[in-house]
Amino acid sequence: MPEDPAESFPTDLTNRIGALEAERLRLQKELDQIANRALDRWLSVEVYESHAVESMQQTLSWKVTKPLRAVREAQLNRPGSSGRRGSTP
Amino acid sequence: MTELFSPVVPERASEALREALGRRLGVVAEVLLGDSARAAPGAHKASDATAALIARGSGVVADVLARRVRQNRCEDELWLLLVALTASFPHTDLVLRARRALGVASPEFALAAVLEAVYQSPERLESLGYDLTVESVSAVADVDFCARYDHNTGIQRVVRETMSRWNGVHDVRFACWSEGDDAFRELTPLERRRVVDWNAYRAEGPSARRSPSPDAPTGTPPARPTLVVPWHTTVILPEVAHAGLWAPLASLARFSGSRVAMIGYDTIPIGSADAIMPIESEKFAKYLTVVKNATRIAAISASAADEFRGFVGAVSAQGVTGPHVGCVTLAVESPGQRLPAPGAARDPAAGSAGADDAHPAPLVLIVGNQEPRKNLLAVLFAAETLWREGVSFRLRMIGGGRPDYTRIIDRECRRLRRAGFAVEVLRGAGDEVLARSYRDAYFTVFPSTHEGFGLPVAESLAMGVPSITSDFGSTQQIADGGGCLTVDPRDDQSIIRGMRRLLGDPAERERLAAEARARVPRSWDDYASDLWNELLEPLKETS
Repeated sequence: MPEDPAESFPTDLTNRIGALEAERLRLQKELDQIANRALDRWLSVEVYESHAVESMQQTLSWKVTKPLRAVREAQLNRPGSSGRRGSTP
Repeated sequence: MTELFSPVVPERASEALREALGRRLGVVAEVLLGDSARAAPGAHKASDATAALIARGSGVVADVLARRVRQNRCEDELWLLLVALTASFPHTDLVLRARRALGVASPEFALAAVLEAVYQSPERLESLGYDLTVESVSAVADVDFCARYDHNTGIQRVVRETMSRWNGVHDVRFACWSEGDDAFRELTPLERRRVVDWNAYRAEGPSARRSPSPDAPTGTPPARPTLVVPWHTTVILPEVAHAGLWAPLASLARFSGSRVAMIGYDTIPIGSADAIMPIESEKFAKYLTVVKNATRIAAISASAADEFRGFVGAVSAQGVTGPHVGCVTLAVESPGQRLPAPGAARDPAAGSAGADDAHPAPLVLIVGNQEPRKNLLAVLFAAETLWREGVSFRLRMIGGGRPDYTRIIDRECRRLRRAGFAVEVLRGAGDEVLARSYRDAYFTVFPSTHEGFGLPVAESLAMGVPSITSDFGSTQQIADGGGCLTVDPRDDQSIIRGMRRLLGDPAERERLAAEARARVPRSWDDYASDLWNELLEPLKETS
């Protein structure tokens, strides 16, 4: 005797829906991972760039040229100077 | 070979930084997604839905927020998202760049657009390890300088006297700036005492300040105070913010949804740019960008209010409304209150009030910073003219200044002393010397060409000492209350006539002294109360 389609169809459908939801969840997790990884990489780059500047400011050449920068700043701030950074006296 | 430069290797940001970013995004998600999350099926409160979102990761939260901001096109929400991502108050350029990037991005690229906009920003992000709290209820007062430094003259006195009276009475939260001037942060217990309990803080002395305060919270204080992010509340700027803060403050005033209320001291660097170092005028011009975007300003005198109204009128040409400008006249504290009580031991550090204390001639006193607009050379000329006429008096100048100008004053005073005239300059004088000088003065002279208020005139009158001052602006407004003889500061003969009159007419001098004694100086209680009513109350009504 043939199986009653009214009973078997919902089971198939349920299985199908379950499989699709599992697939959707898996894909959603993948998408979440992509979003998390993107933000993570952005943060790493921002931190790296900040550290790179900080590291440069710790170098010997940066330290030995500090008096030159101080003199230049004083030049720019003195009366008669335009006060614009990078301008030539 | 010695390695001079340690190469920085790109590596994954530390766990602590990633967690801090996640917590900041979580806080902002609670604020921005609160309403929609509550409507989500099965979510009984906002934190359920937000917690589920946060559990999926920081990138997911950021993505949801970026899509929302893109869809809603609300600048205040974008500003807040940028604060969460960068742990800093974004500059106007960044907000506009991010807004435009979102405007052309599809939803799935909304977060990428925002991150790319931040990446293009030149600002270094130094507070990425901080947590944040969003403040939408209490007003937030930026007391950065007073919290971090012991300096206490002029503006710092105004801020400390006012904030200590608001503390505990009004709903206001105090903040200063995080490392790198990125964003507001909470004050440490020490910084808080420096602002709201200055006298006790000073009395403790440096050694006591190094140990934990007895009223400090128990347990180890957090290494990193939390960032305070004002959002749709009122931000109070009682100080004149330093150069690095104008860009984020102007952006905050424009985009955050918060109203910015300021104390307006003066516009001297613009109005008297001819008497100011060029760099000061340039800096002040930038500071005015905060003023332009503010909501309310309480100027310290009617004259200063007129100046700020003039600026507001000027920015109308840009299609900018500008702030409402009101006036709350400063309080005046009599310098005599700083004198030790009769019989009390005198502070040996205070020294003598002056070299010529035993001199019988009347003392004419000049108090204030020594700079061109104070018109000191005109006073020295007037004094020399009168000395050469045979009028007997001694002149004392108290105040410091930039070396390039004090050199000129010192040279002129040396010349006058060599000619036999009694003139002295006191620099670095303490409160006690200042108070004794006021007490001993026959009258004071303050013919400044531009003032925001004119504190030396007000202090002189509070001590019952008449003052010769300028016949316009804030000093004329002080003079209107009695006790002053006004002169045209740009007319040397007018100053000479004024000094000759008071030195030669004891009855006139006594009449003015009586007027000065009859004045009732405004107290700091008056000022603090009036300032709150002028700046904050109207904003409550409109919020």
